[in-house]
Amino acid sequence: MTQSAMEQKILFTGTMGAGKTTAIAAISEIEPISTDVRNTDSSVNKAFTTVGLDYGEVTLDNGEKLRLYGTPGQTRYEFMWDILAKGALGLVILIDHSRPDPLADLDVYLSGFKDFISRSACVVGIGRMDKNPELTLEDYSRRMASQDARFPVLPVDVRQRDQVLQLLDLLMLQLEVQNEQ
Amino acid sequence: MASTERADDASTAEKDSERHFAGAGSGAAESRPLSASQRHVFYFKVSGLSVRDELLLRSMVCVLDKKTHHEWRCRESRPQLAIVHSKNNPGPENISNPADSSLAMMVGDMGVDEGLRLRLPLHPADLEAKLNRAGSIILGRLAADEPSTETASSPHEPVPSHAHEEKKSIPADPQEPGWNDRLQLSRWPAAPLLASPRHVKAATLLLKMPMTMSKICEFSGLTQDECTRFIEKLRQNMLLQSPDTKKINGSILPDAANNQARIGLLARIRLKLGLKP
Repeated sequence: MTQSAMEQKILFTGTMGAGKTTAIAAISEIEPISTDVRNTDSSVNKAFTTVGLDYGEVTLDNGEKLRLYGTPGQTRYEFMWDILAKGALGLVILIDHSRPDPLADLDVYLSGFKDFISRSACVVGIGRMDKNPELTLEDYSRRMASQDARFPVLPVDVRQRDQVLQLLDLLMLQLEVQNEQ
Repeated sequence: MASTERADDASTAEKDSERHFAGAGSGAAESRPLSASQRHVFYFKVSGLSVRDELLLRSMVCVLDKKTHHEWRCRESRPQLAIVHSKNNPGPENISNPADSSLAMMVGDMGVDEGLRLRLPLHPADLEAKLNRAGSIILGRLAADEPSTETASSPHEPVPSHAHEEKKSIPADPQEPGWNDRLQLSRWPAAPLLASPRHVKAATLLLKMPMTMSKICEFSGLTQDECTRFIEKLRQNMLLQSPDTKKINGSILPDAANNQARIGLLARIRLKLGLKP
């Protein structure tokens, strides 16, 4: 199957409450389709959470659709990750810095998508940086390096469209330079 | 090359928790507690002091390790801080060994307590404050845009800087040998090194795979001078590593037929999202 005939998609993953749904909503031209249910996990302060996946899309100038998928945050849906990642252009990992152990959260997604990110593009966005001053971006950088995961890691407020776009910009850049080689 | 290391996490966490930050003449910004992850290891050497004073100074540094913002270790080769007796080094034109250190701390009987000057007899609070100040200056230099040719403490202090020597090893001109050598980042740089979105792009490229400076400029939008300075700062922060050829040869790349289609796709995505190429 040629690249152009394949479904074009970008994947958003990360912890529950990290803002995958919000990030997709920031750039999707349709109202994102979410399978949200009332949250029963008391450790996360949100009324609803996604148990299936989020979906948004952008129509390119040739009519082709760029599909934006958000994985469910909970690791019990890990079996879906490989399915969703198949054929994806790149991966955006969103981490909620205010959670008890965000570095361990990062490990989960680096490990879960290891095969995919070894051959594609990835960028990590850290949300709510102000909530946990004990950890810095340096800590994430070192953690990623220790796992040979060499991707940009930036603070992000997913409510800000330009910040979500910056993540996608860096994703595009990786794909473009990969094509150049 | 100036070298900084992150202290062992466990030990620094312990040190961090025990730190009191007495201040001792340091500014408010210097007195802020640093987290374990922000604590660096710096190296110093001592020269020109009497045996007694040198021994006392080293002992004080060890004792103060529980309190200083950064960890200080004694090392003769390529220290970041040279602690020098003022009689051996009275002014900037009379530096005993300029290549040894990027920052000098003078010790002696001086009338004015300013900058990085230590009084004799040594006093722990004074030493702690000056080490903290020296650490801030060294960190600031590593992160600063400007070439590290001045101290933040005093214009009269000698500034022997190996950074000048290292700068020569970074080609500033595409005609110079080395411009097309491949470079690669070992990990994502600290935020102060990423001064603009173009620097963020350059770092992204250098992480993705080994890149030449000409390619970095082409894809990131950095000018040649900006790129040279950026690479120099990465080198000073020990963030460059030997190119990993597997990153080029081992990548799963689209075949030639798909390559053009993919380039077109990426261009269309950029166009739609309003992202500049």
